[in-house]
Amino acid sequence: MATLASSVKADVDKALSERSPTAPWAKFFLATAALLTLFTCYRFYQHATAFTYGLDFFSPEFQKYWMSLLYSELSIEVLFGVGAGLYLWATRDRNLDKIKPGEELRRYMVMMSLLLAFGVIFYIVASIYTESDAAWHQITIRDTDFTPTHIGLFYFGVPCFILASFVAFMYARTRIPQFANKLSLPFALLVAGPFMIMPNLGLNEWGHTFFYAEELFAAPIHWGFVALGWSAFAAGGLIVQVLTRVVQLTRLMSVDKAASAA
Amino acid sequence: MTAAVPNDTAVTTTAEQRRSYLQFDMLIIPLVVLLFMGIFSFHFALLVGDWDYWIDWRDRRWWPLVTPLAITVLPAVFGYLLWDKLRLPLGGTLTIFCLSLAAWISRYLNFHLLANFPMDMVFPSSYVGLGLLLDCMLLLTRSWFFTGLIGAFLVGLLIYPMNWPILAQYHVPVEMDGILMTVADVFGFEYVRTSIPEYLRIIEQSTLRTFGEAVTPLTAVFAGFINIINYWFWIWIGSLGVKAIWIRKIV
Amino acid sequence: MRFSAVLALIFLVLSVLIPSLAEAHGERAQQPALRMRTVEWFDVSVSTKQLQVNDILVVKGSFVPSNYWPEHVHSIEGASYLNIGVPGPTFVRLDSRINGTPGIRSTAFHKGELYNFEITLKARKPGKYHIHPLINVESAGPVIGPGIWVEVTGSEAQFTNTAKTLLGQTVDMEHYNFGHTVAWSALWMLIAAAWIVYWLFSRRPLIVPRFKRVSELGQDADAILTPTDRRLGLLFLIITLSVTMGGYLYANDRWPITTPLQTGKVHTPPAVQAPMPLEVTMGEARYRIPGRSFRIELTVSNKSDRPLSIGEFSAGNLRFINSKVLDIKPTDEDDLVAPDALRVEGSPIPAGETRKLVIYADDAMWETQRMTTMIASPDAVIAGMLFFYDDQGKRYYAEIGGPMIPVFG
Ligand SMILES: [Cu+2]
Repeated sequence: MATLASSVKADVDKALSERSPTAPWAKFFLATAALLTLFTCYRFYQHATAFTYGLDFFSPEFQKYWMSLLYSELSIEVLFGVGAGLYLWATRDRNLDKIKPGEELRRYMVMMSLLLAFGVIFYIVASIYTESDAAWHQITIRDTDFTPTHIGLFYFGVPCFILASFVAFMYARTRIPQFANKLSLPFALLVAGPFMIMPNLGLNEWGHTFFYAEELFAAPIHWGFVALGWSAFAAGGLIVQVLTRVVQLTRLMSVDKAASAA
Repeated sequence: MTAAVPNDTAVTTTAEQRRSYLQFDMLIIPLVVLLFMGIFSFHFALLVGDWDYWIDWRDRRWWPLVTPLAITVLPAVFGYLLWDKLRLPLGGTLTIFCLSLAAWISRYLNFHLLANFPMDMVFPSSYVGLGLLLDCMLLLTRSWFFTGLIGAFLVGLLIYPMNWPILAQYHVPVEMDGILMTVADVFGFEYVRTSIPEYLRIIEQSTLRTFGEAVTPLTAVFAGFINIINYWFWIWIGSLGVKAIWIRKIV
Repeated sequence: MRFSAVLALIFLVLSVLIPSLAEAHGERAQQPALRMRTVEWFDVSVSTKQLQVNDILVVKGSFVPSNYWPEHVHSIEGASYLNIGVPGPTFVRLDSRINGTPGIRSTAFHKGELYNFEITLKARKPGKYHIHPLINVESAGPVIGPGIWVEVTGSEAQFTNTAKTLLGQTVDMEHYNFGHTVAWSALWMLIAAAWIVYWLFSRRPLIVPRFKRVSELGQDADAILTPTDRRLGLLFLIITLSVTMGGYLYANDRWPITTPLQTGKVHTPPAVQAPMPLEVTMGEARYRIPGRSFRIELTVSNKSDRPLSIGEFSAGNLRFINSKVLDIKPTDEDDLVAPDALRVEGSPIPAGETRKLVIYADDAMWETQRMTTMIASPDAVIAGMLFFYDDQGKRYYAEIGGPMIPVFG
């Protein structure tokens, strides 16, 4: 594995030193490091305050340590989403028909690295944050819709990956010809599915309040989330769309002419 | 294709082309790994969840039936993508490998560190061999039909024996307060689950027609049979998922 | 996103307006009518309030499922389970008895019957815990009993817990053969990793050229597979089947005697209740919101041969004590005991007489414990337990219940 890692690194170094387009790796790793720090800090906060101040919604400590966190994260998310959307739209490329293949290829790489950042958040949230919610509710007594793990999962984690997929989608819509001219159905599904998790919370909380009193995690009340998670099954379609175009953009003209002649 | 093939190209030499290709390897492979870890964990948590979280939920009747049905979905859906578009027989192994990796991390962080359960009560089962069965079968038969018929059947059939080397030790009998228990049941009783009372365990539940010994093999064969159809269905979903559909506007 | 955030904010602003005080763990969230009409808990105690990791804590008490159990809530007579309201395995439960019957399995409890319980816990993780007995009722949720603070000191690393199998082995519950479990899991992961590495990393670049080639080949895409690929396919199939079969045989050999997971429901016989020589009916019950005062009219027939006084009224785990009869102090800052909050007009009731009484349970607890939200209940019925004492200190109890009218002015 060590030789594999070093050979990958060698490839990265080599690619970076050349002038043909590469993905913005430095920015990507910086962003990923920042995201990991954020999610790790959140996790430490949760670990430190969930059992002490997170067990009773009606205590002042809960309001102080958890509800104020909820208000701040929701406001930051809204501001970030609106800001990022407006920025991407305002700085959109108005001359997409004149784009050079090299630039178009580079933008595909940027889009894919944005999706990769989405992947990092998506994994952390869909696996670690989701199951921390499972573990938490199985050992405590639910007394509010805003439990410490819900504040982490539904009002921090899920909005984070919704924002990440939205940013990648908006980037493609405003900067990549194919995605600007037409709407990619698989990409739209990939963004819409996670987004619908938020409204589906209505079903979840209503169900937990009125007709399902148990904490079985694989319960029918949670299957709405599963179905929305399945929207990610459209990822294949998006990858095919990207690969098809990348093949076109990276043809070697001479080889291609020979092929079409044959 | 909707976009016209460009007259120009972004690369001029084979070296440049290779470099671009490598860039996309480095972007796409980690992306699918992360997506598999995320989607599969989410899907599995909400469909199998407690049967895999707790050692005292892995019974002979429900766990080996629910699990293959849920665990075959991603191998089929993404197996279609990886095989049909790339001829890689990896759909089973890679997706289940990602699931297992994510599961070990999550059990340690959430069920052990956060919720305080000992790891020997909440570790994930071993499923990755099931993915190998599907992938090898696909590579050897090169047919969705036969992979379903044989591979998916084996997935349902073998989930129990594949885990028996780990599970058997938890089924050793114990006497507690004059009641017969297994080691797994002792875990469930002693390590308090405040909101998972005993009656919530969906396990065993027999009828008078359940003839003692036949529970495990019967479930295995039934799970295998259902899983054939399950696999075919999700292959079809996978074939829809890879469609590169462009539309004019959001309807 | 914006829309749901705004909705969430509106919800939050509303919920913050609800007054809040003191500590509790979920019990204050339930509707007061539910808390009063589900289970009447009493005499709940812990054997010690200060202990070390590995020390034993016995939680004892009694409960009577309410005769006024709401029709719209799944009944405790279905499936229920006596549990302990600590956050997860901060303690392990060594033993649990209800009227002497082991509380390992789920059971059912019957309305109006008496159950005495005793739960033996062993401290596992240091911390300060509010220990509540708790009954999980199927499809209804947890019914939470009174809480008592307990502090555990020491080191979690020192914790030990063992079990003895019927075959005579001693099992370390904290790390039971865990090396073996990890080794098996790792073996499978390594086999899978070999397969993944072969396909993903033995040819580079992989994705774009392979996608291109497969698209070009179309129907003949299988041609891209090499003989080595196929041979490896067969090899890995054989490895997978062999490890599965081998592992199965090995496990059968190493653990020849196993039993299936044990489950099922047991019958827990109710305790024999001493005869209660009294009859109580509830008349008008009015709760005056500004005064935090409950006024209840009662008709009591004393059929015993001694005078009876009312010493305590308990409702939804709040205990209102008549200080003229009883001297009870809260055991800690969150013990819901109001030592001088019950006023009784017309007590004591002489032997053999039937009398009309009025009791007043006045305390801020009604509000701090969010019991005042009972006026928002869709089924304004309350219930509670009255404890009577004769002149020799002998205790009798009777449950009362019925409609409640709020008084707003
Ligand atoms: Cu409490």
